[in-house]
Amino acid sequence: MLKKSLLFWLILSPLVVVILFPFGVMFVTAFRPREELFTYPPTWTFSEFRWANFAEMWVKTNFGRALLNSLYVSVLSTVLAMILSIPAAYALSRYRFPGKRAYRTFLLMTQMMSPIVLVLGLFRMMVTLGLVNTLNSLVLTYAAFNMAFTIWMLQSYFSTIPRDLEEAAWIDGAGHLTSLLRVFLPLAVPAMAVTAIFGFINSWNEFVLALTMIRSSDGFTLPVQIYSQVAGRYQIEWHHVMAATMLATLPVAIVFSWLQRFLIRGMALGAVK
Amino acid sequence: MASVTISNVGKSFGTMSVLHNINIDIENHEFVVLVGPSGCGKSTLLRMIAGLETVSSGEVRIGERVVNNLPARERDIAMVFQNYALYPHMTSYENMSFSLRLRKRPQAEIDQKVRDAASTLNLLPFLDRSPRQLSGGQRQRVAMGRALVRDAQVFLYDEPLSNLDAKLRVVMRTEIKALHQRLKTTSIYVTHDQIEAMTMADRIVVMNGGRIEQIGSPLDLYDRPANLFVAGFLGSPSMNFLKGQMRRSDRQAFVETEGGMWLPVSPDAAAREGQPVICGIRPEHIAISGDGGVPATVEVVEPTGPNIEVFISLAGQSASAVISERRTFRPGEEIALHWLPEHASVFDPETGQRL
Repeated sequence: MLKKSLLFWLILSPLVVVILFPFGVMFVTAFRPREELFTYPPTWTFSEFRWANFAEMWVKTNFGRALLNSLYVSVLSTVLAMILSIPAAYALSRYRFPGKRAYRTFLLMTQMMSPIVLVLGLFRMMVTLGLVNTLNSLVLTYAAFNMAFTIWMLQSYFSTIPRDLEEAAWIDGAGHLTSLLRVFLPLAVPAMAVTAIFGFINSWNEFVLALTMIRSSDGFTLPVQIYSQVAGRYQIEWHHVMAATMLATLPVAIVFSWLQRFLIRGMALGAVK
Repeated sequence: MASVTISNVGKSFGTMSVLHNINIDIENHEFVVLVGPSGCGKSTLLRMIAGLETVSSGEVRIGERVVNNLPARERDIAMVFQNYALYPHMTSYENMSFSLRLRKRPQAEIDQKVRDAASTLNLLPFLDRSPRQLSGGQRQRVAMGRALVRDAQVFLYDEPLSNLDAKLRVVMRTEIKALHQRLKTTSIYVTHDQIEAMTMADRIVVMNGGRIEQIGSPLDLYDRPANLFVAGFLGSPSMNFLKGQMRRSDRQAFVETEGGMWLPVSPDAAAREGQPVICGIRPEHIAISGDGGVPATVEVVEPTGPNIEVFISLAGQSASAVISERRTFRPGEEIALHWLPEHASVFDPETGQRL
């Protein structure tokens, strides 16, 4: 058993290296004193944990502002997408209506399109709406882009919740809304949590739309802000860039590890049979 | 408690019609079983009574109220589902008290009712457990308990025992029947298992292809099936059907098989001399002796414990007999069969109706 798993890890190890290498570089660079950035030959060690890198970076790159912008956009777009997706997914999984198949195909097809194809059209739309250079333009577009995915994902989970449970609630005297709130949605919590995580991460990492819609640096989200520290600069402060990158990936990692307990909780077990 | 009246009820999904002109009067306190093969529409009919399916035509009445357009929650019915449909995020106690909590009953009353139901069903030690911590039989009891606390007008059961193993099924069958004898709540029970139907029902409704084949007490249906379907559906092993032509002499009646064998049948059968008919005779009504009866050949012998089931060849047609005496038969042995003429039914092969 142990031998077998050792063997598997050995086979997987090149992949692990490829995945972990950028993180290693990020970590080492973020904590290095500036003088040690370009030592040759490159090493993995450094003389001290330079926490000051983070403090300097925070001020110099206006990190706090970008963090707030990212949080605002990611949270609101996720909430908006969920509020609209839950009823849509419920309808798709429970009701029969004309055009249902076409609608599902449409949802899937939108997933195959890259946002960059639509970016010009979206920009012109935001101009018309007067939303260019506001964070709300990102909230709307992210929510819209996420919804195709969230509806699809929720719908397939909702369909696994036995219809009998709602029917039992109706017979027990619950109205549609009560059965939804007290029987159906509590069972869908794991799926909603997972879906929300994906939506949040998508919004958090999104770059192209943010770069297009936001013109002034006050409104930059984290990816754009970090990019602006690299692109078109005469001198790039790599230790600041890497410190910023590390801080930008941390919240996602925390949210993910906190919510992943919902992933494994098979609540619907024992419902029927 | 209330009566349930189903008049001229039909159901169609789009252009497909699944129930045709159903009429059943279920009296107060009665235990009625809807039985039939899968796809016969029995569950759909039950769901229409529950308010989970719309009624396409006709009228469903609970007590004096027409409930066609009443939502399920206003019909004052309780239902036990085939897969129990317990709320997985609630304990047994919460599952059973859900309906009372929705009605905002006082806590003391809720507690009293849940504990009463739980003690009736031997569930007291399991009230704090969630459904996934319960065995199949316990889940089934919680589902029953959820119905019991309601004091509903009508209990509906949708194949509640079909997910249990054979042994537990027999135990629960008796418990449900005992419960009904005590509470006397009008009950409608759907099953495809003819033994459940026979053992539990005050009256059985046999359904097939979206129509009612026959309604009656279990023994009426068993002894005087109205047609070939009911005759074949009820009883295990099922009734023997032997083809032949009607013959009459004196006051006696016979069915003459192709091989020239004369099978005694009830002289009351309304069939003309020479009319092609099917003779139906239950395996347990056949007695076997050495000679003097209808000759047959033993093919396979299956002892079941209380009985011995003998598969025989009778004038080229296969049949079976069930006897309780201890006798040994050899395959190929020539035997003679006897039965009382009034035990043999006669059916019209064209319409399937009893003659």
